[in-house]
Amino acid sequence: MFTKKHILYYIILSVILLFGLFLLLQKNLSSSMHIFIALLLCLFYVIWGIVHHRFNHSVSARIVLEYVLIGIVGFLILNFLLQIVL
Amino acid sequence: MKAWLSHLFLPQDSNNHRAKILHHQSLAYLIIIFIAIQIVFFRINTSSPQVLGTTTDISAQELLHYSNIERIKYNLSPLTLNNSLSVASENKAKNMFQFNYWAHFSPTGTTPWSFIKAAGYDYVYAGENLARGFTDSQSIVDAWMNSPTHRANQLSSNYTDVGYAVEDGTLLGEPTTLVVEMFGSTTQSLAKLNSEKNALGATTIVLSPTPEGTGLIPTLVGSVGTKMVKYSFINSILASKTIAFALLSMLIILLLLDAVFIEKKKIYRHIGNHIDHLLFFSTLLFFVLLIGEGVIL
Repeated sequence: MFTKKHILYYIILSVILLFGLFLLLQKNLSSSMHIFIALLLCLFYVIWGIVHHRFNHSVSARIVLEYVLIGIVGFLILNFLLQIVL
Repeated sequence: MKAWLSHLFLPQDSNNHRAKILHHQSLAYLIIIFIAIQIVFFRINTSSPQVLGTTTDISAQELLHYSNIERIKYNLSPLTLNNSLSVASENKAKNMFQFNYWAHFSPTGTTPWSFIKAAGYDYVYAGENLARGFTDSQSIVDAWMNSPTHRANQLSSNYTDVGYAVEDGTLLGEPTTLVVEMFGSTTQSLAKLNSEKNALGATTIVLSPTPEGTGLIPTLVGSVGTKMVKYSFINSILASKTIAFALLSMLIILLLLDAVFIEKKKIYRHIGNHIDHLLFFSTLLFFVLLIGEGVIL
């Protein structure tokens, strides 16, 4: 599961996720910008997951659906917090 | 009951060796349930903020106190609360609620300086800091101090006076507490400051640790829109963070269990990558832990 072949994918994913986290924690952005960043971050996650599986020749409708569902769960959590806390 | 919970959370024969919660159908149900929770949450938050809302305690007096503590740290003269600037701040806050915008300039092009001039303050220098969604004065001043542009206003030697407004209302569809801080200086106030500086020499000004009873801070008598104290039975910020934390922790634990299970049993399954999912949910968990209340402009 954690092979050298995958490490680059995980590093890129981690860097983008951390950058998204950094942006989401900025206080001087508007609410709509926060929501937009959250949406982009989740969209990137779904696309990156599909790309990752595509390079392993293991992409299928089931895999795409799994990433989409997890992406939606993630966006709903972020949106919920952004609406209440900010 | 025990068997059902085990079926939901632990990989076994009955759930095809993957916690039922992680199945596509269950994730879809989870999305629907979470949307329903959000709708109920927002409804109660809007209709009964005394039941589910934020406990807020913000006052102009405290804002001035914490701002002046920061200025004195940098050897700057403390700001004086100015009634005209407070009126300008209050009018700005009301204008933002009335025209439903979150910006320094109104949609009709009205500038912050227009409010200051309309309040009768003949400024030489003027500035504006905004905040919303905060629950206490110290957090607001801290957030302003942590942002370079707001910090520049907070620590500008060009300003001698300040005015605050703390107003409650609905902005962009959400109930919120809006804080407007307007800075300014006039020819007279700058001249007075310079003469005082010359007279004081290198004297250090010390503020008391609490806003009350500080000689440097004028008492606000009957000022409208300068204090906001609200109490809610359930703190919506804490509640939302707890819900998000519980959900994310559950998903992370289930994914870890699943990953360990398939590694141990050497089972091949055509599913998404566990590490991808774990990195994603861990990032969201960090967000839950690190997110602070409010935004500034």
